[in-house]
Parts: sequence; C-alpha cells; structure tokens
Amino acid sequence: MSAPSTDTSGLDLAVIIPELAKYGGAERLLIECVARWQHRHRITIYSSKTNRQLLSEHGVGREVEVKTLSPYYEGQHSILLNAVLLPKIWEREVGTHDVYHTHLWPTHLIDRHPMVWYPHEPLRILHDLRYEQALDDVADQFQRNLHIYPKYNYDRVSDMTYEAYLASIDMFDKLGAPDRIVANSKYTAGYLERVYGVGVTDVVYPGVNDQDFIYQPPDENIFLTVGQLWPHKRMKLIIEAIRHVEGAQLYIVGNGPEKQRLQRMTQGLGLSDRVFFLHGLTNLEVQILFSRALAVVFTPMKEPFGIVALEAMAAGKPLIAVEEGGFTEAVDESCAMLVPAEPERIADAMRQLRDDKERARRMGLSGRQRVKQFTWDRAAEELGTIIEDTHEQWTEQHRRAEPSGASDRPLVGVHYYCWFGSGIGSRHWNDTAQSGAVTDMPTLGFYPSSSGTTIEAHLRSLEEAGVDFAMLNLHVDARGADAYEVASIENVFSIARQIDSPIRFAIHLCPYDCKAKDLQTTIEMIYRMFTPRSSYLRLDGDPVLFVFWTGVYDGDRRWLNQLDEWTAGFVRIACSLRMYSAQDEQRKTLGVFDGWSLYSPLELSAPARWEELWQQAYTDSTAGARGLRIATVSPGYDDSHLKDPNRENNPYRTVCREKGATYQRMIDFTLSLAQQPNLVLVTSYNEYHENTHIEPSKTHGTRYMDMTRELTSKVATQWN
Amino acid sequence: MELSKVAPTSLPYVTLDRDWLDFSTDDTGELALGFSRGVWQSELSLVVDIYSAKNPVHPAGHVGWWSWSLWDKSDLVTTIKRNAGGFEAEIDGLEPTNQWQNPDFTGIDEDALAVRVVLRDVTTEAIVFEDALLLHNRADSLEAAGASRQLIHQPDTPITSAAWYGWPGDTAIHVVAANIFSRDAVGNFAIDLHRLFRANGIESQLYAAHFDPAVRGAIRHVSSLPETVRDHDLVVLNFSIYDPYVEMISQLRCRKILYFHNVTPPRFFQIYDAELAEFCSRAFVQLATLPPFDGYLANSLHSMRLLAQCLNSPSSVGAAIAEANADGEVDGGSDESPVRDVVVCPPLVSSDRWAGIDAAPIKLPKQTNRLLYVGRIAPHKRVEDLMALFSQYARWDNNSALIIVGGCGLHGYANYLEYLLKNTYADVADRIHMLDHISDGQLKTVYESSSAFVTMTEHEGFCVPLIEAMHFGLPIFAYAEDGVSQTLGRSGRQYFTKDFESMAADMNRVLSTAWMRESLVTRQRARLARWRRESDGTVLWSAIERVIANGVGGR
Repeated sequence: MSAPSTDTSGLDLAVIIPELAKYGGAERLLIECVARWQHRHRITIYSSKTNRQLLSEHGVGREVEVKTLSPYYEGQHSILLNAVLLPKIWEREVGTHDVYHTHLWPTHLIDRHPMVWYPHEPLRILHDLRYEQALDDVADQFQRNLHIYPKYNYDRVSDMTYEAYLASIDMFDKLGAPDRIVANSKYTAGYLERVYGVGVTDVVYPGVNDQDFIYQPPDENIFLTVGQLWPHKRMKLIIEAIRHVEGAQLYIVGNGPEKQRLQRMTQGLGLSDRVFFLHGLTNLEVQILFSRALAVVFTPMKEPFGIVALEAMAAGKPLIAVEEGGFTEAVDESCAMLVPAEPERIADAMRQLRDDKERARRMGLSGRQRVKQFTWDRAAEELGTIIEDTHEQWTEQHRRAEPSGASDRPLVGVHYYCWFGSGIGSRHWNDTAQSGAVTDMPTLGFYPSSSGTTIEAHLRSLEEAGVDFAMLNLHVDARGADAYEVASIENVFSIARQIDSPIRFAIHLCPYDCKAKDLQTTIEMIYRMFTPRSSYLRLDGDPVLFVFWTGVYDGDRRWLNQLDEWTAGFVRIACSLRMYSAQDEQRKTLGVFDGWSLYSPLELSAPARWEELWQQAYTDSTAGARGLRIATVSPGYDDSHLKDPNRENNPYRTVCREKGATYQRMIDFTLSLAQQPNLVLVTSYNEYHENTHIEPSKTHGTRYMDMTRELTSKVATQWN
Repeated sequence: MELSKVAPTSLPYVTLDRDWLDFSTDDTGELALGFSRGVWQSELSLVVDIYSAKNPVHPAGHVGWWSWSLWDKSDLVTTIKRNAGGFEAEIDGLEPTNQWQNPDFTGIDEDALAVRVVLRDVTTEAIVFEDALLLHNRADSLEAAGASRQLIHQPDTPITSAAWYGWPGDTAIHVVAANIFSRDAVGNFAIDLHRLFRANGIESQLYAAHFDPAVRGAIRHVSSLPETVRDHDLVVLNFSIYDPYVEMISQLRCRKILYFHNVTPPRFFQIYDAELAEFCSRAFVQLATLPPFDGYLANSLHSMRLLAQCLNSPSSVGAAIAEANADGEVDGGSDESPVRDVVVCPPLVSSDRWAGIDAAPIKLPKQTNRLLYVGRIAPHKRVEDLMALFSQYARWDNNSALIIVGGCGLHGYANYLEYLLKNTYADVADRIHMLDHISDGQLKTVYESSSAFVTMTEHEGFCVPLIEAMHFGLPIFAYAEDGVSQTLGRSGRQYFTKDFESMAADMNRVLSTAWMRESLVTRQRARLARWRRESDGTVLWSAIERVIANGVGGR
C-alpha cells in the first residue's frame, strides 16, 4: 500500500469548525484563509451548521466542498455531551484527508492526524472565566449558566453538579493530541502552554481587509463597540463610562444573552437616548458605523486576540481599550489608548478624544498605517505554510515507520460474512431453507458474528494464515442496509483496534433490489463510519470498496451514474458473478469500476476450461481505471441444499472440493501467473450456504486454513 | 372661555409666558416659567440652555447652560442677561446649581440665539421636557420671524373651499404633530390643514413638541394643548412617529381624528440615528395600544392597511408589524375588502400650490438633460442608489446631470453621501448637484427645467413630489415601492429590481425616444387628473363631518 501524498502543493485538506454560520472572529479567519487556499489545495469544510452564502460572499467557490457534522446537543447534560461525546461523533463523520486543520474548541478531540489546531482560545470557562459567568438570574434557582462558543445560549447546570461537569470536561480536554497548535497571539500562546503543558511556538495573527473600510475623519461624538453580548465582553463597563461623557452616544453592535440585562441597565442609568443596541447589520452598515465613530471602545476580559482592534485601525479610528489581551500586541500608543478596566478611566479617554478631535484624527490615521502589516494574505500564507510543513513532517515520520517493501507484494484478502446470529436456527444458521441452510458447522460452533470472542478468534485465525485483509460483506436490500451486519462490522473494527490486529478491512457492498436512497445512505455511512479508521484498506491513499456484481444492473445508466457519483472517493472493485465483457463492458457498466474480479470462479464452466477462463478473467481484471491485477481462489462450491428456484438453473451448483485438490488447482494457477497480482481474493472465509468457506469446520477441519497459510507464504516469497 | 377638564398628563412640562425675547434694544430679558403639577414632587432639575440658532450643536454652537434643582420651589421667573463676557441666567435671584459657559463660542452677536428650557431627571440626566424660543439680537431678525409666523396662517396660494359649511360656530380645530417643520411632508400637511380650516372660517391652532422656534406662537408646544382644548373642539393628530404626548392626547375628552402618515421602518435609520429608529419601532406599539379615536384617516391604501392591522390586533401586533414592515412586507386587508374605520385620504389639500408661486432664478447645471429628485435626503429615500443609477446613466448620456433637492437632517447620512461623491462616484461628482435651502420659486425653476424625475425610495406613505413631477410634466422613473406604486398607479416607469445598469439603459431609451416619453407623460397626466379630483377636500370634510356629527366621544 502506498503512503499518503507528500505533494504539499495540492493537499487534500479537511477544515473543521463547529459552526460556520456567522461572521465572527474565528469564522472570519477560516473563511479568509480558505478563500486564499482554495486554488492551491482541495478543501473540504466540515461544520455542524454552514452558511454557504457567507462563504460565497467572501469569495469561497463551489469547488470547496462543505460537509455537515452532527449538530450540538440541547437540553439536559448538553454541555457535557457537546464537550465529550460530540467531538468523537464528529471524528467518525470526518472523511479521510491528507491533513486536518481544526478551529475552536473541542475539535482537537477529533483523533485525526496530522492535525493543525487553531483553537483561538482554550475553553475559558475552565480557567479565567470560571468565576465570570452571570449568576444574577439563576443563582436563586441553585443553577449556573455555562457557555461554550459558538453556541448562542447558556447551558443551565445545577449547583450540585457544576464542579463535576467542569472536572469531567477538563479531564477530557487534555486528551486531545493535535500535532501542532497555532495561537492567534503571543498572549494566547502562553495561555495555551499553561493549560496544555506543551510548547506553543506558532503565532499567526488574524488580519483585516483595510480596503473594505470607509475612512471619514471624526466629526461626531459617537463611540462604537462591536462584540457579542456575553458577560466577559464587559459592555457594561462602556455603558457605565459613557454616562460620564456628556454629549456622546454609544452604538453597541452585537447580540447575545446579556442584551436584556444591558438594556435594563441602560434604562436605569437614563441613557436610553445615548446608548443604542444594534444587530443584524449588513457589512456595509457596519462599515458606515465605523466611519461615523469618533473612536472604537473595546473592553473584553483578556480577549485572546480581538479583531475589532484591527477593524478600528483599518477604519482609521482610535482605539480605547483595556490594557489586556492579544490585540495589545497589534497596537501602540500612536493609535490606541490602553486603560485599566474601570469606567472612569475609560470615560476619561473618551472625553479626551471628544474634546480633541484632531488628536482622534491623528491616532486614526496612525492606526490605518500600522494595520497594513495585519493582512489576511499574510495570515493565510503563514498558516498555510504551517499546515503544509506539518503534513510533510508527519508523512516523513509515517513513511519511516512503515515496513519497507510492504506495499509491493500482492495482498491476500478473504470474503468475510458478519451475518450470523447466535446458535442454530438463528439468522443464517438454518433459519430459512431458501437462503439460510447450512450443511457444515464451524469449529467455533454456530457463532454470532457480532460476538467479540468470535471476532477475535477469526482475526487470530486470519493473522496465523497470513491474510492481509478481510472484505466485510454488507447487504443492502429493500429495507436498507442490514443493521445487524453494520453493528457486527463496527465490532470487527473495534476488536481489531483493541487487539492491535494487522488485518485491514474493506466493505464488500452487496446491493439486492434496494432503493437508490438507501444505497446512497449506506455508501455515505461507510464513508463516514468506516473509511476514517486506520485499519481500513487503502490503495494509493484511497479507501477500497468492493461491489458485488450480479449483472442485474448491467446497462442501467441511471443506477450506474448514481453509483459512480456516490462512490467517487473510493477505489471501486467489482466482485462479479459474470466474466468481464471485452466487447460491451463500457455499455454494461460505464467504466464505473477501477478493478474487476471474479467472486465465484468455479461456477463459470466445467473443470476442463477453468484455467482458460481464469486466465481470461485475470487478464480482464486490469481493464479498470486503476489497472489492478486481481486473482480469485475458492476451495469448492455447493449450494444444492438451498431451496431457491433462482439457483436451479445453475449447471455448476456443486463443484467438489476433491479433498483440497480443487483449492490447490486454483492456488497453483495463481502462483503460476506471469504477472504479479496486486490482490489475491479468497471466496470465502465463512460463506456456509454455498460451502465456499475455508474457516476450520467439523467437515474440513483446518485443511483449508493450512492451505491458505501456504498460499500467503508462497505469495510473499514469490513476489517479495 | 371655560377650559376642558381633561385627564391630567403624567408628563411634566414648563410653560413660557412669551414667544420670543427681544434683545435688539435691551441686554436683559425675563421669562416667567410655570410648572405642571407633579414637577415639585419629582426629582427634576431645570436647565436653561443657549445655542446658536443657526448651528445648534455642541460644542461649536453651544453658548452655555445653567441648571437649578427644583425641590421646594414654586413658579419662577428666569432672567437672562447679556454682558461683555457672554450671557448669564438666574432664577429669582438664585444662583444656578451648576453652569457651564463655552469660552470658545464667538457668536453671541448672531442675529438670533435659541434659548431651550429643559427638565432633566436628576438621577439619570434624561431629558423629560424641552421647549425653545428665540432670543433676537436684531430688529430685522424679529421682523423676519414675524413674517414667517404670518405665512403659517395665511399662504399666498389659493385654498380649497369647504363643500360643507354648517360648521358649529364655537368649535375649534387643534392640528397636532410631533414635529412641524416646513419642507417636511407631515409638517407641510399639518400647516396646509391649518390654513384650510382658517380659510374656511374655522378657528384653528397648530401644536408640536418640536418646531422652528422662529414661528413659536403660530405653533404652540403640545404640552399646552390640554389647557386650551374644549370638550366640543376637534383634535386632528398627525401620526408618523412615536410621540410621548400621544397618550395624553388620546385621553382628551374632545373628538379626535388620527391621520396616519405611515411610519418609516426603523432599519433605515438605525446606523444613522438609532434614537430615531427606536422612536419608529415604538410608534407601531403605540398605535396598537392607544385608546380609540373618533376617526382614522390614512394617506394611502398601503398606509390604511398597516394602520388597520395595528388597530385590529392591539394587544400583540405592534412589534410584529414593526418587523414585517422592516422587511417591506405588509400583510393586511386587500383592495376587495378594505378594513372598516380607516379612510384613505391623500395628503393633498391645496388645489394648485404652484399657481401662485413665481419661478425664481437659480444656477442650473450646464448639462441640459437633467434628472431631478426632490424629497428628504434620508436613508429610506436611498439617495446613494440615485447616485449609483446616475453613474450608469451618465455612460449613456454625456449631456446629463442629476439634481438632488432636499434637506438632510441626518449628519451621518450626509457624510456618507459626501464620501460616495468623493470616492465611489468621483467620476460623475461634478454632474451631481445637491441643492438645499432653495425657495419655492427656485424649486419651480428647477422643476420646469428638468428632463425627468427619478426616485429610488424604498419607503413612502404617499410621496407628494411624484404629484409635483406629474404637474410639471416630467417623466417619472421610480423603484416600485408600495407607496410609490399606489401613487403612480399604472403611470410612470417603475422598476421592480435595482439593476442600475439595465435601468439606466431603459431610461436612456425612453428619454431619447419621443413617442415613449410622450406616452409616459400622457399616462401621468391622466393619473394627476384623478388625484386632483380626489384631493378636492371631499374625503377630509366628510370624515370631519362624521366625527362632528357623532358628538363627544363619538365612538
């Protein structure tokens, strides 16, 4: 198997952010960067809520794919579920990419690598905002408000469980292991180092488009502040300050849960004719407000960065701000008045500018000049370089860790069935005469496929036989995907991870008279649930999907086009019941498949013609887009005990195993191939209805597993 | 004259015993102040504030202020004195509690200064009452103010006569609006009503909370209304914005008519004057919660629907309508089933106001294809869209100019338009002419020398300038906003989207094709004739007749 791409000039980049619905600071940075990266990398944005119009307004094209993650939980325990469970759900919903660039908390808990995390800020309710949540309206109910950005409302937690919630979240928070953390300021870098105990040396400041702003010299006594209305934004300070600045007005642009409280406070102070709350403005309206302002006031508590400061500078307006937070690294005294977080000190600064507009003008122009070094071009370039470097370093390490030559020899895989229930009479153990009858019994007994014990025994058995991968059969019929098989397949992946099995897995999709919608849903589920696993089989970096091909859909253009669209991210290999048709295969399957294999090579003809047909099939197997060479072996075939009218016309229902001679004939043929195969498939490990199983059983003992071990050994020796 | 026993207003107020101060011959003036009941029990302070009359802004036009606590006081006389250093004020010999005089103010000799009398909440410093009069430093200023007052009562243009004349002899009409200023549609209509009533021999008086102090006397502060109105009188309230005095008016025992001029959606104002935007929002709630009036009039079908919706769901509809209106979508009633109790009455009572006005000279652009806009320079009029449209039109027509006539009360909006002219539309800025403070005669000249009337307004109650454009035979090009569409009917050229490039091309095609232009004007003439018929006063007089006939508290 090949290693992931090391070509950093065109990465398959996943950008993950909890929500991308409004144009806040974090979202702005992501959008501005993606707009600049989109022509260089293939980008997929993952978000639980995405405003596509917002993307297009800022130049992000349709070629940037957008995928939706599960939404935030609401209601009881939602804060814990969103902090702990949700990122692990997202982990399973994110596809496989070269590199993962995550924004905000808690996307660092998505276990994907290489990952560059731009947190913007740690979860501040665990640290500096722990005791800054508004209690006024809830304390008498023995409750507390908690808030995690970007949610727009409070989560209510009882006093009894408040500390337990925070302790649990804190514990999980430390489990994230991004490969690189990038801070939006030196202040935030130090903060992150203290929280996570790792060095954070990468700082990329946000930027601003200064050409978007309207510059007008100050001639009105209007002070402007922009920000969401949460307690730690401390709008309260500015309102208390403006009371002492006669003849001045304050425009507050932003919304949030504190709005009503702030409005009551404004009314109580008699400032209703001087303090105004605005939200839902267009970009142009915000720019006009900036242009009208005498100064911009910004007083949040330890703001990690604070793009508002850059916007004030871009608009040519002096900044009156508290002397704390990341933005203080971007301003100096020529354009900003940094003061303690006290209303009177803020008011004093406001009065100075009210009474000296020439000074305000000079400061504004100085800021407008200084802000030119904080561009989105620079931010995107610096962050893009970090992402590319991270990918390159990770790939280099990954390449060194992989055994040399491991990707060169043929891989041997087995068809594996997860459909068995527990005990005789249960699903697929003689449950129906038509399709469930069996004539042999596994050595493990009539096992349930979902059982961890069964799966571990099978994996050990496959490892001992030297098998590289298993094709996990998943059936889709009129009722949709087989839920039992899905659950069992999930267990297979989990057990394999637990026991650190080297076996890899790919889904063998078996559609039977299913609805298009169900097939699409199933393929999306495979992509989201299974392909991100490290044990999923990949060829040239792409996940492999085997498709059982009976020929029923031959020539069905609509069906084939849909299949082509839905499986576009996979290496698609047909496991066919019929031979490849050199004359009109294009008409039959439209070139959908990247590789071609036989599922049941013993059902094609009488024994006399076997080698001839196998050779033809092997030659034809390269006809797919990827030029893969695939051989299939099988120990025998016998479905004569199934009471199925559809099978009655098959002249080759019983192909005797001949005590291993049939299997050996196929193995010999395979080993005699002049050109090395890429894949050797075994039909099957445990298909008992058709008696193609090689699993140790009452009838055959370990004969066929022993022969398979010889096959894998010789394959490895012959073609290593 | 026996005064009506009205429900006391909860709003504190101050009465002033005169309408102006004459400093042309003296350096001292006295003003007797009377205070409403309750002022003494509330924590209010009295402030006398003096500004330049022509530039009443802080600090450039601010002379100074003097404030007194009002605890344990009775009616007072304030004395204002001019001395070498500026002005000083005192009340019955009491020194002010606080005062501030602007050392940088240099205009104490200006023709007139504005004296504001203000009540402020001691704790919050919020203004709870204000009134103003002029302090005339020169006799000619005093004389000019007298002429302005006279014009309010008696215009030099003909007045429509009442078709109905059985007026109860001692019944006066009190015409009220929150603001009465000339060149404002609501103010003009209030003044027109006042003139109409007086011309027909009916005693009439104008009231407002805000008006030009130069015409104080011709217009009275609305707080004095309860003391002058009698039970058998009629109040005509012009409603276009939230007005704290409306509750007081609604409690008067006399008969009352509410004339609805529509309310501008607050979203247009919020970034330029958030307080005004808030007043617009509150207007809807106020309408929905007012006690019933004896009659309702609206300036258009569009306004009628909105008013009816407010009135018919008084408990909850206010805020919802404010939102709906903000989005430009009003859903209420239909042409087929107009809502009861609201009568559509166009705001036109002068038969032809231009007949008595002589065209006066004014400098006009050298370009002879002149596109004209007349109206307020306000955000909902979308003057920036006019500029955008003209920048496109100018590419088709090198000999074109855009003339924008109107005053702008929003400093921020004026600045933004100036920015656009200097930057975005710098290439056509010398062909865009903004005219303010022009006389009616000059405006007549502008109308007569223009080629077309253009408006991109996105909110209108009625839009009187469209009628004037029809009168002068100007082809009209307009964005098809509801109020505009109802005034134009099927006349004028109306655009449903603001695709300026294609609009400009279309305008050029119409204006350069004689038959298209003539066809447009012909349809407009027919529309104007219809408006003239509907504006003969019949609707207004019949509405008044019904209210008068119903007697006191007719509903």
